[in-house]
Amino acid sequence: MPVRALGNDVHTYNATNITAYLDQASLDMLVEALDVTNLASSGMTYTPGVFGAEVPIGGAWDIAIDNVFGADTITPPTTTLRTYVRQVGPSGNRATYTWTGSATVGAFISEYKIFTDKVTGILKWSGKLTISGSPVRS
Amino acid sequence: MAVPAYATRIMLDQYDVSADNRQVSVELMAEALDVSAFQTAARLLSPGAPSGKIATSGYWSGTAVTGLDPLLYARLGAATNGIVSVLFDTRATGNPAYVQQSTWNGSAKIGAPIKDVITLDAEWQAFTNRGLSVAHGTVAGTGGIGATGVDFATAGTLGGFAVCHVRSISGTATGATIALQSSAAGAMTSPTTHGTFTFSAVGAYLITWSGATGRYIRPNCTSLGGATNFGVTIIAGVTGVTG
Repeated sequence: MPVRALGNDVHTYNATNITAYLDQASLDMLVEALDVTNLASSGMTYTPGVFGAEVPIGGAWDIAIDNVFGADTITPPTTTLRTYVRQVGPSGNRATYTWTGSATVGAFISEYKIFTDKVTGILKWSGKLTISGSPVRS
Repeated sequence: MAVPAYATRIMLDQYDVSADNRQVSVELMAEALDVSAFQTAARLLSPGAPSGKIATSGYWSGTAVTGLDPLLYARLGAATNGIVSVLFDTRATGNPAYVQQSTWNGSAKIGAPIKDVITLDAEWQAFTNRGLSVAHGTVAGTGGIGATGVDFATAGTLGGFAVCHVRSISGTATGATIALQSSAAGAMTSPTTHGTFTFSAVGAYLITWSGATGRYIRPNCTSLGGATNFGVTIIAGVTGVTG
């Protein structure tokens, strides 16, 4: 049965639950397709490359989210990347992806933008969490 | 809670150009450096040097000295850099503000869409600091600007910066001074002075300091310099606390 997004997609970045500040998010896990086509191939042939992931996010701007990402973009983590946990699905039917922060594994905010669509609207933000390494899926 | 977009202020040196603009974005980037290595089946990435860009979109409103056209053109590739600040949620002090401490206008585009007004867009690209607004208003006497200090949530140990946009001076100011102070208490008891803005004309002024900074910050006007009053917008940032 399909699961609605509201209340069933929880984001925790550096121990802070940022879900309430998101109105859009995805988890883009990508494996590059390496071209191994050769003259004996009957068509294009690929083999999987290394795993990579990124998380485009955004929502209504608030000082709370600015305290998290504004500071982190200006002063990125230098020794230990941030822990990022993504829980998808309702209780009892939930997949959890965890990148535990270390020198090589974890997340950091590589793009953070505060903007106005129109002056009579609300202040908005968008960003991209860049992910390093593989998660533990549970 | 959502913040209305209109509660945004754009400062260009001594000029408040908010009323001439209808869109703004502050974009901060930390390039992802690929540090992938053998024996690891996933891409490894590390944050690179941070950078920032402020983009504004506004109205071309004529050639008056305080209009966008002369202000942006004078700073287009200017050898003498200026200070540009964008303050968010200006309904109160203590909210985030982003500052390019030394920048120049990299782009000024005049657009003439057939069914719209003439527009004027600009871009400023430089390292961008993050701080909190600590004062905005008219100062007519000496003493603390604001009833209490602005709460930065924690104290700092790595110094900080502050910018003062002196927007207007009523009368003549000669060596007017505003001290930037911090304290462990919101009542600003036993404050430490981190630097002093000294000015005799409108403009934008920067101070930096090193070492410990108290949790609460408040500017303190120590001399009007003979002026009747002046209008200021002041932003302070504490390294390691605000960014």
